[in-house]
Amino acid sequence: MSDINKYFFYLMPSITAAAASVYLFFMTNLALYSLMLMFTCALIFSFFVGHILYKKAQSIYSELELSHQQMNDTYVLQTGAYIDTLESLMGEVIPIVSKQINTSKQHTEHEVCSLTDKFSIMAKKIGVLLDNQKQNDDEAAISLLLEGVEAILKGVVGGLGKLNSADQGITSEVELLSKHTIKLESMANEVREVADNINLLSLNAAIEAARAGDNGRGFAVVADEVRKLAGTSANTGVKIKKTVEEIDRAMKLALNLAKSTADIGSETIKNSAGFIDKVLIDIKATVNSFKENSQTLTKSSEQIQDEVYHVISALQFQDRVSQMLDHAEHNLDDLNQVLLSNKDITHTERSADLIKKNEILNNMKLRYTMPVELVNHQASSSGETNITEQESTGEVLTFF
Amino acid sequence: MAKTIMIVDDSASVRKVVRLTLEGEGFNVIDASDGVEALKKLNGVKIHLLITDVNMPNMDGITLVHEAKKLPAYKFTPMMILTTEASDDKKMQGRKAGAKAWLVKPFQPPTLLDAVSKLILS
Repeated sequence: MSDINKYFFYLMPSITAAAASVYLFFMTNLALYSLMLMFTCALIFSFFVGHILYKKAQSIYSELELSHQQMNDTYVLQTGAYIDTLESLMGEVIPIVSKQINTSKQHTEHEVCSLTDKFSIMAKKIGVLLDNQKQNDDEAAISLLLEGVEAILKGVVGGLGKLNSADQGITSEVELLSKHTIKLESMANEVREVADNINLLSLNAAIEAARAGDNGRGFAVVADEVRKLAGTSANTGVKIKKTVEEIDRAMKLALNLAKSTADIGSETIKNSAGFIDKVLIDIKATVNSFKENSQTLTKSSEQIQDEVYHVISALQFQDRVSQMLDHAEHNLDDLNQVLLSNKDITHTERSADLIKKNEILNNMKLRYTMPVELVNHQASSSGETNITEQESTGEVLTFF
Repeated sequence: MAKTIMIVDDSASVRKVVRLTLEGEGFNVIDASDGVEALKKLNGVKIHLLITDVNMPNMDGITLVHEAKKLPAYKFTPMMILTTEASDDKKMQGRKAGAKAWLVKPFQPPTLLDAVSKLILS
């Protein structure tokens, strides 16, 4: 508060009195000497009033000055206490926040590394599956196998057909043989008849030989021998007939069996051929479906593998975040150093120059490695909140 | 015979992604977490390409390139910088140190592979 202007309180009333007197002199018809007398009285009165006012103003001024000083002292004390408390708070909070940042950085790095490992294993496994699929070429193998199976089955059906034909051939031969046995039986009957006739003749010869007496004795012997031969022939004929009957019975049985087998075989072969055709059609349809599914699976696997590689690439964000957190941690450490270095300086010796604000801000900028950090720094400095990071217009890859 | 590439980065996740990308194309990969470790692991081992980050503890990438180029075994080995930094000043520093290429993170695997194939063939 500036000093009171003493002369103001003395001169102002005097000037006012003089002005009033001049006004009265010009506006009234009072004599000059009366006016001079009024002026003198007014002047004396005004000096008196001015003195009283000056003394009063001086007293009020002193009181105000004292009050102002007291307020200043209180302000300094309170501000000092506030700054001390703030420094103490910052001294405690900054290391805590710094540690939280460091812990976040470590956790993030650890988890991202773990994720990268897991995704890498996934991508490698898919790669191995795709490589195996390409190398094995299952589709061609299955097609080849199918063709082989078809040829073999058709061969089996053909073979069965041939067997069936052979069976039918055998049946025909057996039938033919059966006819021959009939002839054999007939021939056996003829042999027996011949033998019977010979026997009859030999009996007649024996009778005539007996009639011939001694002359027919030789002839009787021959007749006996012929009769014996006829008996043997008759027996042989009977045996042949029995044998032929047995053969005929066996062949009839075989013929019946062969006929029934041939009938069953034809039916079975016809059914088998139809069944095999149906099975081959079903297998082909299944193989085609398998081929389509396999192609779809291969394509999907390749897409998944690509996506996994993209995810792994995207996890690089952790490196950027880690760097930004690292810089933030160092900046907090710098602030902490400022607090610690000024901690023991008394309030009266402190000044704003001790903080070196511009130097600290400049060091922060030098520490940045990414454009977004500089953008954030400048946005905060200018107070703007809507500044967004611009896309980097520089080349990603530069060759020297 | 498979070619060998060294990747140097303090971020384990970046080393893993680069390893996965390169091993998928049949390269052998050696990794290190900073410049000091990289120089120890190099020790005369034949490599066909060095890929390094810039900002790392103990020794940064540009210093690593500069130091590696001094070694006779690696004088002609191509070296590439892989970093989040994109300023022209930094690129100039990398070029002066002896790097042949500068790739900004995050990278796409085909871009990395394109750079690797060109540098190894050159």
